[in-house]
Amino acid sequence: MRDFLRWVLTHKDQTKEAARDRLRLALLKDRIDLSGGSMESLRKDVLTVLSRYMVVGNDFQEFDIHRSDDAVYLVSNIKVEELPRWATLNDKTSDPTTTSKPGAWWK
Amino acid sequence: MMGKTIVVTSGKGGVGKTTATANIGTGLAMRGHNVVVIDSDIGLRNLDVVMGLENRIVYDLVDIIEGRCKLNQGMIRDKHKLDLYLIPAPQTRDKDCIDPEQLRELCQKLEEQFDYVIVDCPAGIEQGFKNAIAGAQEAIMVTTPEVSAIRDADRVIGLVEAAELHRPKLIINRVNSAMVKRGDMMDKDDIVELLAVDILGMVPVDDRLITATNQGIPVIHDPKALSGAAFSRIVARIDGEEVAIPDLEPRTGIMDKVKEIMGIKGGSYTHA
Repeated sequence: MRDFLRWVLTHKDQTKEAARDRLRLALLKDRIDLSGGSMESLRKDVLTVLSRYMVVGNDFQEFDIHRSDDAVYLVSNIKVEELPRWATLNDKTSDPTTTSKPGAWWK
Repeated sequence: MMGKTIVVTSGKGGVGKTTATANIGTGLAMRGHNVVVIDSDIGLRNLDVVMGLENRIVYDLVDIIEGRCKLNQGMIRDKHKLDLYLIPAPQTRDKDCIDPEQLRELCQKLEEQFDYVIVDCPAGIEQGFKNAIAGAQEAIMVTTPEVSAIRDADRVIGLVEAAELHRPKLIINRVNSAMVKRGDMMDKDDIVELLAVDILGMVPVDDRLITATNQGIPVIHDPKALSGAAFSRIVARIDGEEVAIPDLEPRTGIMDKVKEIMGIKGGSYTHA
């Protein structure tokens, strides 16, 4: 009741949300700074996974963590050399060896 | 049977590491274990005053390590006649006058004699921290529900895990349950989710802890203190007992309602 009255009277946001959200981002950024070696193994792993689906260049042109004020992004950039025919846009099957029906992609 | 060494650490200073160490050591001794607590904060000795033993210091940690006294000469017995001993830190030396290997050897020697060796770690992540964690098999992280303390705790948890002290356990100290209730303080679940660790206990903010510390008595001796009760539950959990972690709730007795209406708001909280 008191909390409700307080809310009605002040419309003050709960400050714990602010604390939690700020911390979540701060911890994310701290952990990235410390991740060092694991970025390199992530890069290799992603390259391996990609080459299971398509023929790509030897390495990423870009593979970096970017920070904005309110989020952290992994930005990667690699040249695609060749795509097999099964890579249609709406191919939901996780198995790349199954071939989609022709024309199914626009449905 | 061999004892075990537990390090009490935090990263940030002033969150209650030393108070936690004193109360955990005392509580384990009250449960019948023989315990030694080590103040590893060389140059900034503190555990002795929290335990009320500051006038009994003759030798210290570095005297023991450098062989200027025998092990039993360097240990100060608790004044409540518990099977509890303190090894104080030297006040006039530097943190790098000992190395991790020396502290590890000392802890191993103490484990032959004691059930529990509790090491109070200095704040920070430098030499003193590295020394303090060297001999430990387990780690307890102390934090308060504040952004700065939790952030530092996250960093230290990473370092502790890198030192192969797996699954450090978390104590959240100075929880203000009224603030938690109105959404102005992060609660247990928020903090556990952010840090991804197991929780060992929560200690409410408590005036009685300060008055006990003023007298050099660990608050766990005070049967009326809510913080003391919280430490008792923490100690029971360390000792292998399964004790639920109660949510902290503001005390809602009729007198508290009266006080609240009159605007006399004390720090009296109870556990649901």
